Amino acid sequence: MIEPINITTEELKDQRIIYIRFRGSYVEFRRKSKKLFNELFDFATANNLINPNKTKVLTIYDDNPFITDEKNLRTSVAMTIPTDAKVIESGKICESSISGRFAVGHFEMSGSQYGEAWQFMYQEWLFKDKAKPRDAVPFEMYITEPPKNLKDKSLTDIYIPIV
Amino acid sequence: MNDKTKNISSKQVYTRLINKTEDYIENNLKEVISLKDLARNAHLSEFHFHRIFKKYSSETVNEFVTRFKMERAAIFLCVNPKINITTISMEYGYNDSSSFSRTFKKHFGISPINYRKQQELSRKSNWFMK
Repeated sequence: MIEPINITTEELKDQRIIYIRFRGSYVEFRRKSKKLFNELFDFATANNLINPNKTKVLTIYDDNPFITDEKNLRTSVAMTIPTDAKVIESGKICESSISGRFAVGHFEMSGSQYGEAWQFMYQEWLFKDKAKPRDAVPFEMYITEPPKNLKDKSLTDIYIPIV
Repeated sequence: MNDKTKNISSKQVYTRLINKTEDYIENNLKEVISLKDLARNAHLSEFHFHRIFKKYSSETVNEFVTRFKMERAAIFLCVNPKINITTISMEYGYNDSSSFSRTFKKHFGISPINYRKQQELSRKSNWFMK
């Protein structure tokens, strides 16, 4: 099983994000995610929200596929935005913020290893009493751009909410 | 604006309304949430909020809030095997564990305790990434 380079903890305080929330199965989401990320980028570019050194892109897993029906299953593509940015929500784009404490698993992995990485964070780490879970949504943050194929690796952080 | 453009635009207004409503519930899981609260959060009158919601959703506002809370409670039950049902009830705005358990059972067809047991037994290796 894939293991993280390391696991750290991070406290986020009102980290502003813009997002597009998708409703449907993960298969459908994967098929449409590129289009959704492009829509998000277009909005961010048009509104001067991108700071090349700071902006991070995320996938937020709002629901769990074993609990929520596919038609209601929510997955959000999101992007961090500066504290002082002015945003007028439009189209499918909404604004929100992320706060609280997270365990962050820092992974170098290929597109085919994401499932294993999530499994590691819950089964091999959280459930082994390394921390107490907090009721909030987990997400992936892309540190380097994920490659277009499933083989090449990139850096991705997995954020698990903890107390 | 032609009819098609109008429809897309009004669907997007609804999508944003639902997103903001979900974000509100997410931030207020511990509270008892009413139509009034959701309308106020969306800067709409109760009448207007209800009208937009009803036009697109197959659920009533109450069903929507309850489903949201029950699904979140179910996730939390599973990732937090040690927490007791009374604490969980409080975390989701229920005054006592029996009304929480009743609502949970109505939604999932099984009690919270049995649900957790069932999930623990059948937890698949890819539970988090179906």
